[in-house]
Amino acid sequence: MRIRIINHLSEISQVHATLKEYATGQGIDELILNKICIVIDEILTNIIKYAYVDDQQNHIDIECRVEPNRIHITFEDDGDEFNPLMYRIPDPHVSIDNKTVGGLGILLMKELTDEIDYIRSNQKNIVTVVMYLN
Amino acid sequence: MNLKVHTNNNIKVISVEGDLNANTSGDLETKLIQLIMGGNIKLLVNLDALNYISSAGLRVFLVANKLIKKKNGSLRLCHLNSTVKEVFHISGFHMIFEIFDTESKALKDI
Repeated sequence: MRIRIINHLSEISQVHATLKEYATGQGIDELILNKICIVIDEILTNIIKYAYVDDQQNHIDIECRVEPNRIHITFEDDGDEFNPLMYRIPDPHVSIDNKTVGGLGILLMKELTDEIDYIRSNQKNIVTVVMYLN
Repeated sequence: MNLKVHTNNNIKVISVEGDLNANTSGDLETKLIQLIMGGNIKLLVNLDALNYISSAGLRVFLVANKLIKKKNGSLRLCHLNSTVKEVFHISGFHMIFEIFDTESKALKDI
């Protein structure tokens, strides 16, 4: 499954809808699907918020494929270099007075995926995630 | 995402249906702030029909909880599915919020 969106938060729901239809057709159960949706939300939000500093319209390509025991998703954008894996993960044990949500998305994407990788290639950010299905 | 609000023993119960993500969380934030600023300082959010929550959704609960605590109120949550529970545990949010299995348990002694 491939989908191209522009760099706007409202586009994320289109990715969710397309992926839900594809993954359900591939027999992916709802529990995994919900986690996939969270990971997609976090990664695309990061790209849209941090990889594009101008107001230009740009494209983000998402490719998803289901293999026998895993689902593999690649996100490719032509924004500024932005590696979400470099950011500090918050301590989940801090008190509410000190709690902020900065970095929580990155914590979730790391914890909910089994493999996550970032490379910068040909002026593009490429984030690849793998989630095991068993 | 759909939001429904009903009143149970003077407590506003907000039922959230669908997905709580970067795209939808603003609507919930607006609703919760509106209720709190309107003097409703005892709120229960029923997540029975919520599929999943991302960090944008967590942020809304954090903002609402901080606001309601300042007014000596209480924000409770109930009916979290396994995905939502997992997100609360990963983020440490399960230690911040009062979470109940059912709406009736959550409404006791609020």
